[in-house]
Amino acid sequence: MFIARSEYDRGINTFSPEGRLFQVEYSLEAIKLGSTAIGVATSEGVILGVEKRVTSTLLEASSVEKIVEIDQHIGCAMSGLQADARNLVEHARVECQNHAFHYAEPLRVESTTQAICDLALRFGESGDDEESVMSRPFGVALLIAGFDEDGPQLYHAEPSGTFYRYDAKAIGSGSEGAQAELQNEYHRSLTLPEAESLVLKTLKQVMEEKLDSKNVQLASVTKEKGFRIYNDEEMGQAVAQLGGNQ
Amino acid sequence: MTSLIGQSENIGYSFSEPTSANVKQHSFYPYTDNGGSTLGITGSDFAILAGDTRSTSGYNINSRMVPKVFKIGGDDETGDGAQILLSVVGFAADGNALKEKLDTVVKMYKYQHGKPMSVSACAQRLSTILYEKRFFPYYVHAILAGLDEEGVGALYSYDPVGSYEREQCRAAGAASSLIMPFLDNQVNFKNQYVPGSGEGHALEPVKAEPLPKETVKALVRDAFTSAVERHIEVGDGLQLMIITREGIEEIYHPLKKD
Repeated sequence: MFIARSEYDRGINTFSPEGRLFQVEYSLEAIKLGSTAIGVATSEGVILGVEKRVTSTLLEASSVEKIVEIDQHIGCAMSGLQADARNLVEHARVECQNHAFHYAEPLRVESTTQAICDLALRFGESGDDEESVMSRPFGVALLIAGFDEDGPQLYHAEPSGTFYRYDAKAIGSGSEGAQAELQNEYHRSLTLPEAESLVLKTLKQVMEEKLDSKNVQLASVTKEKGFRIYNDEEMGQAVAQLGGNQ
Repeated sequence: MTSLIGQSENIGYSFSEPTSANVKQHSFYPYTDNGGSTLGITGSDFAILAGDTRSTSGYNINSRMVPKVFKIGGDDETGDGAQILLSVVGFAADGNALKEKLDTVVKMYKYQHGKPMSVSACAQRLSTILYEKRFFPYYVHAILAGLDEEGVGALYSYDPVGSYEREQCRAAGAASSLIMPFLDNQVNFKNQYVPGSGEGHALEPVKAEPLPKETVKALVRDAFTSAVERHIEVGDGLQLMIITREGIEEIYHPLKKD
């Protein structure tokens, strides 16, 4: 087994005899090293939460950007190689703007996710007329939250190009523990504030550092306000409320 | 070489245009006007798109049966399942190319997004398709029809490079200048006043309201029979498509063939 792996894990476009693409599998490992990101979908909207690893007291916490806007109605949280995520997010933003330009309507959340996954799979040797693509799979997973005519939705997109829709999903280093917690706590009648505290509570459990308003970031997607990243004041309130509940 | 311009006969003043019998003007005119007229009217729960079926070039009639109204985004060749109508008038080859392109785009949209394209989205897409060829335009006046999100009749009219507007009614093509004033008066009640409501400026205009389907059908037939009398490029047959919540109904009436 180990010998087979060392032979077949170099080429990104070569299947192993067991039918596996090792480089893709390794890219999934890169995500498990990343900081934890959580998304919870409710009937009122979606909450995204990420842990920010503030590795130094000299580090400006606000420069750690792990939740970004894709369009007014869609945002995403990332775990893994952040630089890779920028490529995917840029692609998604262009697709959203293109769609709005051509059709005078926002791009659906599923279509946005599909567009990201189309790019995620475009690694390896490029065709003659294709623009240059990534030489390796992307080392990042995304939680894509959005609101469209089908209501609030949460999608998980992987470097393998597959995506699934979730009610609640955790990715990154603490994902196993966090996912188990979400499994226990999630129910369909969750309100948005409840989802907010569920995300924070779950993050708190899996984070190595002590959770405060500087080392986590929240964002929400609702029908009324679209995608919004919490500002410092709102983060302070959310974290203070969590302390009060416990 | 005698054709070295400005050297032999002409003194080469920079402001004098050299004229020579050897100069040949080349031209390339890839457009033809195939005549015909189209017309669209909406109501509270339907939209009608109609066009004559004559195709002309100059004083010749190419054919007496060339439809100008098409179903867009249907499931098969018959257009079943379509929820959008398009009419094109002007240069028939461009009209056909435009119809084929829009049809493909609408079908691809359904595959990619898992839902049928709304008329408003299709309207914007048609505009960008037309504008993409801003410097070699589709030589057509297009009209798009369907039902909006509320089920109300929706009609969008275009110029050849994609400017568009949602309207209650619109006539396009050869006889548009004959039909449009008739529509202004009969659909939007322009220049109609409530009898005895006052003198001069005190006269109260009749308020325009969406017309019932049967009234509109009769208006369309009247508009075309009148246009046929006064325009040589309009005639042979009238093709009518009516879109409602139940689907698309297609009607054909013969027109004068002279």
